[in-house]
Parts: sequence; C-alpha cells; structure tokens
Amino acid sequence: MPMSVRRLPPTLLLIGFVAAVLVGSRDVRAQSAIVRGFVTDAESREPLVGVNVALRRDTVLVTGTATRADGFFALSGLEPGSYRLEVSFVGYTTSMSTLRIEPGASRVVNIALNPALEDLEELLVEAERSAGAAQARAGRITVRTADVLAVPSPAVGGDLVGYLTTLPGIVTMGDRGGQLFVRGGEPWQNLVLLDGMWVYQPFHVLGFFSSFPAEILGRVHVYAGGFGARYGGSLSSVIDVEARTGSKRDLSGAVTLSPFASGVQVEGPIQEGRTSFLVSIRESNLGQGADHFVPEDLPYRFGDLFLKAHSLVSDASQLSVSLLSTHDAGTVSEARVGRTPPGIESLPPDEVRWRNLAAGMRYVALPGAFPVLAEFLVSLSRLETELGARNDPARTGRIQAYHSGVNVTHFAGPLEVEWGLFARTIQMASELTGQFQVPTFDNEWLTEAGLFLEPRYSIPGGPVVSAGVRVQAYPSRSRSFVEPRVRAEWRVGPGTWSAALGLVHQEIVGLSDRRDAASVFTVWAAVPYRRVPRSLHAILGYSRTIARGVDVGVEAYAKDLDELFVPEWTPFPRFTTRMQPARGRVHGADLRMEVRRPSWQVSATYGYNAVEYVAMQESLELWYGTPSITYRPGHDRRHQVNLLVSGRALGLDLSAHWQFGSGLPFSRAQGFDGYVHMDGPVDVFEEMGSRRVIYDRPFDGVLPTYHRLDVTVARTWGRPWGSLKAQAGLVNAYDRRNLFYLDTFTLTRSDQLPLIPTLGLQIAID
Amino acid sequence: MPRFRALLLLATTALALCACEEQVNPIDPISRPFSLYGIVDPTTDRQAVRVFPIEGALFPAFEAAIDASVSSRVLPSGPEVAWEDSSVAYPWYYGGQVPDTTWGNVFHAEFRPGFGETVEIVVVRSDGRASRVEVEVPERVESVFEPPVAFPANVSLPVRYTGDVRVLGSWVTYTVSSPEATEPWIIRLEHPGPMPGYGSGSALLSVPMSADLGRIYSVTGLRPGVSDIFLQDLEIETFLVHPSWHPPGGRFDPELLVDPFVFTNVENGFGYVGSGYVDRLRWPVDQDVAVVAGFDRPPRP
Repeated sequence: MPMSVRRLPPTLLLIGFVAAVLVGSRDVRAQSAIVRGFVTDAESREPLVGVNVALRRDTVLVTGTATRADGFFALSGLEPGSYRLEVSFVGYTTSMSTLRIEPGASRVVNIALNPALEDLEELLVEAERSAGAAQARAGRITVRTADVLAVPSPAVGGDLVGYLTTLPGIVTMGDRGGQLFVRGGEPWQNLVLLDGMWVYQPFHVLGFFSSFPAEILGRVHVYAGGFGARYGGSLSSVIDVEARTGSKRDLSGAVTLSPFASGVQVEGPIQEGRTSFLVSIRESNLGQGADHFVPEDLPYRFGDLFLKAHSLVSDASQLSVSLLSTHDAGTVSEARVGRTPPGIESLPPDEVRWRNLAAGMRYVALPGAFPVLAEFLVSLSRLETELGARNDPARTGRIQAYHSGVNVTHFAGPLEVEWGLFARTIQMASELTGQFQVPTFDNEWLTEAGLFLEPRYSIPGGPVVSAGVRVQAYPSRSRSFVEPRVRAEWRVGPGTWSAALGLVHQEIVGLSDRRDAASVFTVWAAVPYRRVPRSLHAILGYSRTIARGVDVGVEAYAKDLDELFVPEWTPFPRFTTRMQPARGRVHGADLRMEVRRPSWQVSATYGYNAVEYVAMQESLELWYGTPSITYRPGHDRRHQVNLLVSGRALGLDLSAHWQFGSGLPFSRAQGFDGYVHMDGPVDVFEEMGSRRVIYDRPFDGVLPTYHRLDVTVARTWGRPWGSLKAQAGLVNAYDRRNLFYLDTFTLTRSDQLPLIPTLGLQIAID
Repeated sequence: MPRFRALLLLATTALALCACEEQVNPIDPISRPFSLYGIVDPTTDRQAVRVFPIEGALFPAFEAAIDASVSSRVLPSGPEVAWEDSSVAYPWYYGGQVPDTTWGNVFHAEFRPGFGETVEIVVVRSDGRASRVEVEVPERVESVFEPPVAFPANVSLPVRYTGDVRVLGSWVTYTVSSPEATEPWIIRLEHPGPMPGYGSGSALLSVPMSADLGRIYSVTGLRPGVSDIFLQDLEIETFLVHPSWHPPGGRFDPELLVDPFVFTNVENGFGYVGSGYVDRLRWPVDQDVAVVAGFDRPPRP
C-alpha cells in the first residue's frame, strides 16, 4: 500500500523541506571546499558529456568524476591546498592546470578542451563502455549516438527510435504506428523528455522515424523502469533526451535526401563563442519517393522541426531555449471493400493525425552562495490527435500541459543530494463521434505538484546507492503519495551488479481501442476520482566484460500495477472513454551481448516478457460468472530477439538488423450481428438497433510471429568543404509479410512495409 | 568449425522462421446463423420479428434481401405459418461522407396467437442451418382500479393486475384543459422502472396523480395557484409480459445485456423474442378525487 500524506499540509511540507536543505548546504560549505564548472569543446564551445575530470595532489588521485549533462562537473569535500586538475576525453588533448584551494572555497572552473589531431577511432570503441545495451544498469541504458547510427535506417543518418527497437523489452507494432511498449507498459505510460519538455507522442507514424534524429542527439538515457526520484508521473519508462547544442564558432549544416524523408540541419553561432543555434527540419516525401518502389500506396506524412538556442550566459550559468513541432498523418488500415454502398467499390480508411508542440526554457546555474548545481525548467507541451476525415474528424483528442520545476544538486564528497520542486497544469479534451458511437465530449483540468529528495552516496570500494523519495500530489484526485525510489550499483570484480526498486503513480491515462491488434488513436483522460494508477518496479541486473570488447548483461524485472484503468470491455463496436479498473503484473528478463572489434560490432539481445492484466467490471460477473477476467493485453510479446551487425569493409559502412517477435494477442470475434434492447414494447419496424460484436473471451487469439531484416550499405567521401555520404539499403529484405494492423471489425488486414529498396544521400558542409 | 556451425544454426533458424505462418484468421466463426428480436402480441393480428444474420462483417448490409425464411406455429400442433420479409430502410452514414441507407429485415405474419399459448418461430438459411425460439404468450389478466389513496393530499390511484404476468412499463395519459387554452392537452407520462407489485402472479401499480400534476404543469406551462387546470380523462397503459421475460441481473441495462450469451432465448442463435401486450384501462374521472390530487374543479355546465 502506498503511503498517503494527505494529512500533511503541502505548503508546510515544502517550506520545511527547502529550509532544511539550504541550512544543510551552508553547513556543508563551511566544512570543505568545492570545485565546479563546465567542460566545453574549445572550438565549437559545445558542452562535452562524459569527460574525465581528476584532481591530483603530488600525482596521487584525490578525487575524480565525469561530466554530466551540460558538461557539468563538481569535485567536493576538498581539503585546502594545491592540486593538479586533469581533464581528459577521448579525441581531445588532455588539459592540466594547477588549482589553489582555500578552506571552504566554492570555485567555478570552466575548461575548454582542444580536439586532438590524430585519428582516435579505435580508442573510441573501448572508451565508452559505460554506455550501450549490454551495459544496462538497473533498467537504465545510456545511448551513444554511434549506436544510433549503427542501426540501419531507410534515411541517411540514424534515428533514436531505430535504436530503441533493438533493445529487448521494447515492443513496437512494427514499422508504422509510432507506439512503443516498454517492458509491458503501454505507450501512454512512457515519459519522453526532450530538454526537459514533455513530448506526448514523439514517434512518427512510420516506425523508422521519431522526433529525435541522430543529428540532434546529445545525452540520452533510457530507463526501462526503476527510475530515480527526479522522474515521476509515468508508470512505465523514461526516455530522457537532451539535444546537443549548436556550434558557437562555425556555421555548418547538412542536407539529407531519401525516398522516405528528407531534411536540413543547420547550426552555428548567434553570438560567437557565447550563443548558438541548432535547427533540424525533416519532412516525409514518400509520395515522391518510396511510393514508386511498391505496388500499394504509402499514405504517410510526417515531419518535425527542432530548434535549440543555447547561451553561455556567464561562467557559471547557461540558458537554453528549445522548440519542437511535429506532425503525423496516415492511414493504418486498408481501404474497405465489400459491404459498401451501391456503386462505391471501396471506402477510404480512417486517417489518424497528430501534432506535437513543445516549447521550453532551461536555465542552469552554479550559484555562488551555495555549493550546488541549480536547474530551472519551464515548458509547454501539447498533443492534438484526430481520427477520420481531415475536415470532419470523427474523434479528436487534445492534451496540453504547462510544466515548471527546479532541480538542485548539492555536493559533499562522496555524497550528492539532489532535490527538486515541480508543478504541472494539464488540460485534456476529447470529442468522440462517428459510426457506432454514442457521442461523448470531455474537457477537464488537472494539477500536479510535488517535490523529491534523492541522496546518492558512493561508498568507497563499495556500491553507489541512491535512496530517494518523491512526494507526488494530485489535488484534482485529492490524493498525495510518497514514492520511495532506490537504485544501487556495485562493481564486483569484472562485473557490475545493479538493482532498483521504485513506486510511481500516474493520474492521466491514454485510452485506445485495444480490441484491434494495433490501434493508434489515443485519447487522454483522467482516472476516476481518488483512484490513481500505481506501479511498483523491481529490477536486478548483472553485466560484465568477459573478454576484450565483449560485454554481456542480464537483467530480470518485475512490475506490479494496481489501480490501472483500461477501456471497458463491450460488444458494442465503439470507442469508449469509460474505464474499468484493472491490475497488472509484468515480469521478464533481458539477455544482451555486445561484441566490439575495431572494424565491426555485433549486438545480440533476447527479451522475455510476460504481461497479465486482471480487469474488473460490473458486467463480468454476469457475462463470465466471475468478477474479473485475466488476459494477456495486446502488447504482450513474450519473446523478442534482435541481432544488429555493423561494420566497415572495403571503405563501406555495412549495417544489418534482424528482428524476431512472437505473436501478439488479439481479440477474435465469432461474428457480428445486431442488438435491439428489449426492455418494453419495442416496435421492430421502427427500432434500428445497434451493431454488435460476438466475442469469445478478450484477447483469445494470437497473431503470427514477426520477423524482418533491414540492411544498409553506405560510403562517405571527405571533401574540403565537408563530406558526402551515399547509402543504399533494403527495408524488409526478405519480404516477410508481417502483420501490422488487424481491424477485427472490418476484417481488414494491413501489413508492414514490403521489400523496398532505398537510396539516400547526405551532404554535410562544415 | 565452431564458427561454421554457429552460422549454419543461424541460417537454419532464419529459414525456419521465414517459413512461419503469415496468415491470421480474425474470425472464429460461430455456427449460429441468426439473431432474432421481437414481440409476439396476443392482442394484434400482425406479428413481427427482426432478423439479423450472424455474419463475418461488422458493417451492415447495403442490400435489402437476406438468406432467411421464417415460419411459425402454435405448439404443439398448430398449422405452420410462413412469414414475409419487410426490408426496412434505415439511414446510414459512412464517416459523414457517403449518406445512404442500410436495411433491416423485419419478418411478419398475419395471425393472432391465443393467450397462454406457446408459439414456435423458426428462421432457416438456405443451407439448412436454423435458429429457433419458443415464445410463451402470457395469460390474459384482469386489471381494475382500486380505491384511491391520499396521504393526506398526495393522491395515488392503485391499479391491480391479477394473473401470471410481469409489468415492463406503464404510461398514463392525462387529458386536461384550462380556461387559458382553447384546446385540451393530451399528455402521456411514462412511469419508468419497477413499480410496487412488480413481479409475477399479481401486480399492483399506482398512478401518482399529485406527483404527475407537477409534470403536467411543466408541460403545459400553466402556473400552479394561478391557472385553473381541469382533469378530463385518465388512461393507463401497461405493458404486460410473460414472467419469463426477465433480464439476467434484474435490470434492463443495455451495457449488461448486450453480451450475446447473456439475455437470449433463441436456440442456435442470439437475441430475444418475448411475448406481451399493452393493457389499457380508463379511469372514470372522479372530480372529488381529482380536486384532492390538486386539479381544479371544472365549472358546472
């Protein structure tokens, strides 16, 4: 049972919490010194993440760390004296300087690293072993841009979503639809952040693309569960993307052309050395491209615009402004034939459309008064969805939220304490009309607020433990919760153990009609009063390097979901926002192996995942003689295998990705008839009745297995003005007829993309 | 050699997987051919039943005819009656783009079953598959007004139904007039839900005259205490059905009863065909009672 703190006035709790933390900071400051700062590329002035920062005294290592987001580092708990500061990073010349530390000093030291001239490609392979799929740490994976680029994509240049599909435990419906299911969670249970902004539906309708092309990626963390107290409001996973910043020195850009999507990316200084911009625009062009390679239409349109301005406001502060706008449209089913009005051979399928808008500002500062790193966030996020005709949609949904928050990290030697405050206002509206539909109109406002505190302690020679707590208040539901979060990593010999345990709540749910094998249209709605869904995560993992360049990892996980709400089950063929309570259980295990050699690398993963929902609905007792039914929901893919091979030979970059997934459950109908409500003297000449689906039990059928192979080969030519990259590839290389969408109402089957040859070109100008 | 074996294993696995089933059958067809809905009425000469073919597509047919023939007989040995198909057109819209009609098939026959009889209706497809329903016609019941009840000025008018029936609904039609209007109003008020005496064997309904007067004021726009309102006529219609017409779970909630297996009396099919009739009973207006209920006394002619 989650602990409730309803009796504690939130304002009092907040004031006491902040006061205690600030007083504690002053005490810490009085006892020891701290060195903080940012590490940047000396040429572009872009922040560098993962840089080793070491403080030595007479060649003896006193303390060290690696830069985190924004290139920030902090070395605390320092005794007075003279030190040598060494800052090193693969591909850069090591920086060394001498520091004189006064008692209780709080110094800001910024470092600009000069790029090295020699080719360090081979070193890169071995230098970043803390990242990659095989190095998962209690559900967290740090994504390298190089790994994203290694996944074959029909467009030149990778995309984050392509990499995510190679991870075990992440289920997609295939190459269209734009929905990700992480370790048994549903798409609405994923929290996707871009520069701190919530992005509700970031994955494009064509599954190779998302709002995150590789060109904009900076730091990416994927938490498949067990995330820290900093994150909240989502039951399943966190995908935290921080876009890189543009160069503050030189103007550069790239143009990418392919039969699927083409784009332009430009970056450069606004104020040289201080402020930069990065713009990425991408637009689908299937009508002019891939459509010509396949017999059927590819009715998909999508695009995204990302803009980021970043400024080094002072030596101790940075400001960034980000904007993301995306649009998607496509028909996920085929045109309906048969059963059409006289004289009309086929009827167009419903088109689903959605638009994201996210805009935010992030300010990072190292205040002189306190030995802390402070981050201030303000953002707006909006998602609009439609289903039906363009000018007369049958169903519409909209969610808009304003977020604000502050995150503060204190440093005291091996102890770091992060805390934060947050508040959100959310508006949700929906209009559901159309065939078989009782029109429903909803509009509601919600608020969320809370705080978190998460100490992280690195025990010398022992584990790194972060034990946090998040107080999440849902005033609209009259509920508040205390969510404990614990994460631990312990390096033992050549391997690393990791574990996580956490409790999370989420008050808004995304409702889809999951009676179809794949249903894309989602309406956001608040759960019933005082009923807030919660999930308890538990993860245990082990990873190790078994040979030079060979990493293996295994991770087991379980989730217990309660107060979960799923759309009601009904034989009426309608979309409904009526919800029924449910519980869920998820358990599974991931096996990962990565082999890295100087000229090639292989990543092989296997994921076992079992999801079980227990739904309760008043009618079930009458229908099935039991108050609840247990079933596998439509995203329960039990087995999943990914094999990713990439390498270089004969001057060509080769990449191949083979995927296998066992069949997904779906609800099989036994037929269709009509229903007339016989509750009185019904005149059957006048009463039209409703259409009805004769189901057996929910999700009693299983779809065929899914497997495919995608391959690309590319070559890059360096030129004085930049580079030219040409790519050729095959989508679905052996033309497997994979099912994407099965409309059990119209019996319309839609398959994923057939074999399609692709060509692409990228011109980069430095 | 080990590397070769690994490659061979991988290739074999890939080939095996390539040969995996690609087809999916979204329908596990049920063998029942039809769903039927209707009412066998012992007070009318025409009986009608709506017939839905159980089919493999959700969208309704855009053709008028269906593959079905309907017949009936009174059990155990009545003559067989063939029913005719009336294709009824209903409006239908596809996504707001293609207005059209769809068809419903209502089969009907000219006969009147007797009270207390059992009627068998059979719907047969050309391949011989049939759905069948046996409908028990209720007994004729006696309905009488009992003396009005007043607490103290809240007047209700009890009606007793004696016989093995169930009441599924009642409607009271008031004819009222006022000096402020040239024509009388005829107002039909539904009294939903189970009423006192709901059940088989005997039913006692109550016409809440005083409570209905408030609704009558609302409909007519007359003002209590300001406008005179006179009761001219009162008739109660009651839908009386065979006691077997009873919803599982005890209430007529379409969200509950929509499950095809829950509320059906059709063999080898779905749906529900019941039997009942509307009983009409006129109250000889007693102006003294009406005045106590709140109506005004009409002026003497």
